[in-house]
Amino acid sequence: MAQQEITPQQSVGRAEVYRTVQESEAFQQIRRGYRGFVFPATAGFLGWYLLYLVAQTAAPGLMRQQVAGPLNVAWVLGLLQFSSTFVLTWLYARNARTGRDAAALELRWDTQDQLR
Amino acid sequence: MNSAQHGLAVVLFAVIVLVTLGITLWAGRRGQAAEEFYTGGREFSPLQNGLALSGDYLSAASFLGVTGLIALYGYDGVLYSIGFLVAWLVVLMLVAELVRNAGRYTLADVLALRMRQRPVRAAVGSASVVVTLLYLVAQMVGAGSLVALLLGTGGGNGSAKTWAIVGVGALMIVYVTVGGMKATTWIQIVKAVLLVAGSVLLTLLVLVRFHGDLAELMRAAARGSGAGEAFLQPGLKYGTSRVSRLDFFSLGVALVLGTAGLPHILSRFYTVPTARAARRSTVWAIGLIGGFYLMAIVLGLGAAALVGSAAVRAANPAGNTAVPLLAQVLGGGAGSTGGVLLFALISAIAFATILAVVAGLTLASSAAFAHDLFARAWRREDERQVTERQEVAVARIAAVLIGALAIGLSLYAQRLNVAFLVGLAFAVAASANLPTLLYSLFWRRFTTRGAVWAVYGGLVPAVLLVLFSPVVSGSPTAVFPGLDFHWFPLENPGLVSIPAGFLSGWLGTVTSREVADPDKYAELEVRSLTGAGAA
Repeated sequence: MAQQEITPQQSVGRAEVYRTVQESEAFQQIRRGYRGFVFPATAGFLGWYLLYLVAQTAAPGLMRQQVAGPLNVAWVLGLLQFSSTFVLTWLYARNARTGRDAAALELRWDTQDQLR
Repeated sequence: MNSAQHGLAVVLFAVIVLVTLGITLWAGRRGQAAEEFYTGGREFSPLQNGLALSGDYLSAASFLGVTGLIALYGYDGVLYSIGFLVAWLVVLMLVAELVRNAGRYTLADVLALRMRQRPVRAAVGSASVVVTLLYLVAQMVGAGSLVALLLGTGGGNGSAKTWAIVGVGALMIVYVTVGGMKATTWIQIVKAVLLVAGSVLLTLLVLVRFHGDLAELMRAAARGSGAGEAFLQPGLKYGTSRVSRLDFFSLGVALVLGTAGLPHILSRFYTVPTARAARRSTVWAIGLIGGFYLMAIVLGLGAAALVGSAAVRAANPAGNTAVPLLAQVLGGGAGSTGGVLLFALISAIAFATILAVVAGLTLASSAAFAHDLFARAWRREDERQVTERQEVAVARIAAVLIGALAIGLSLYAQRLNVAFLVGLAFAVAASANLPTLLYSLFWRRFTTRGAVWAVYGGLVPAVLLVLFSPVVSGSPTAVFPGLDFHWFPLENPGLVSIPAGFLSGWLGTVTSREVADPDKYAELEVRSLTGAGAA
């Protein structure tokens, strides 16, 4: 890999560049934008999926409750899992596109310029 | 079953073999560089890679297996498929972009950025080979029975299965050694397009048959299943006892967390030029996979309604032929031209599915062996470095050896019940690969010892617990039904081994004497989120 050919002096310079970028406000904003969306969203969809799994066995009576036509609560929750997956995918892609893509790209060229 | 449809199926199988070999030769003319072999040149578009991702993921076990489960067990089959889809949110949000930015060819590349390279590559490289090999044997044993079944040479005839396993194995070795990632990706794309087209066609035919009335479809399926109302309620398959419910929970957790640790899925993100393209290809994959599982519900219910669960079970106890049988009925019934045509067409798509998935697995396995183990983990710092040319040569040889090993194991296992292997592969990926990867990306204090402990602390319990579970001994459906040395009650180890992996990673980190290097974490964080210095 590329970093193996680097001399000690260069590697000090390199580490300094990355540390400076990491501490910069521009990077911290990207990081906040990313983590601020992804961590709660992950907790949300994992919790919602586990809840759905547990409900199969914890509340079988509720699951059999008819909702509309042949659809019961279990089917409705299952179809909601599909919908929530699609909606979260769309929300995440939109958040990344509008929230951090441009800033990340700018910082990428900036960092690579400093490393040269 | 009549000979006309199997004759036609043979012709279509041959067409698929010729087309895929043509793709392989075309791709093989390209350069021999490592970049080309492992990533296909990183120039695939998001849509192409999205198709390839879904091609890698939707194995024959999904296409035929999930629809079969829905045809036999109704709602519980649907329940099973949902874990496979939700898992992609983990891939999308936590893994795809960061891995694309920080790594070059394999999962271990990401970890090697901030850890001591040799122990980490040895651990993650080995876990990757284990996961892909488990998955590969599961697919190939299934392939043997399926090809034999689809060609109508199944039943008690063992030699047809043997030839199917050897043939599929030989083809996948040729695809990978000659065509590398470029050929493997194009084969996935062709397969995914065929799979989606075939599913859309059958779904439309089912909907037309029921005049678009989904409620009537559900009611007809409940009648055709012989189980009545229970068919549309939870509990037909998972939930006969407290242990079996817990077992399903364990499997569900492994499915959701395992996908993001599967080496053959992760290596797909290196085939696109940027992290943004990796994200867009994941969005495509989620759309395609979600759409497919929604269609699988219609197809499974359709098979229960039109073929009948009893007839599906009679053809194959696991329900694997539900879709081809449904195709036959939709085409006009056995013996009619339409029935023959549709049956052969769907069988050929299933065959393409098998070939594409095993090729992707073999490639990921050989990459982990050559790039992580042979060229780096097994080489001291003061030894001469392996050149790129040598590494690719070793990867090709590894593909042949791993392929041969998979053929051998599958031939040995073909009479055994190995249905648990896919669940085990997901459990190992979730217990060994995912904790290391997540800690490394998100935990500043994570150390080399933590990384190594997380891998072995997840891998070893997962494999050991399965060894002492009812799937290996002590039950009529076990690998060794005659023996009984089981003491672990669950069939899937995820519920224990996944926490074990995360816990050992934490324990290894807090007990290590070395302190995590903040400079290296800064580099990983900046690179993974901005793409600076990305390959």
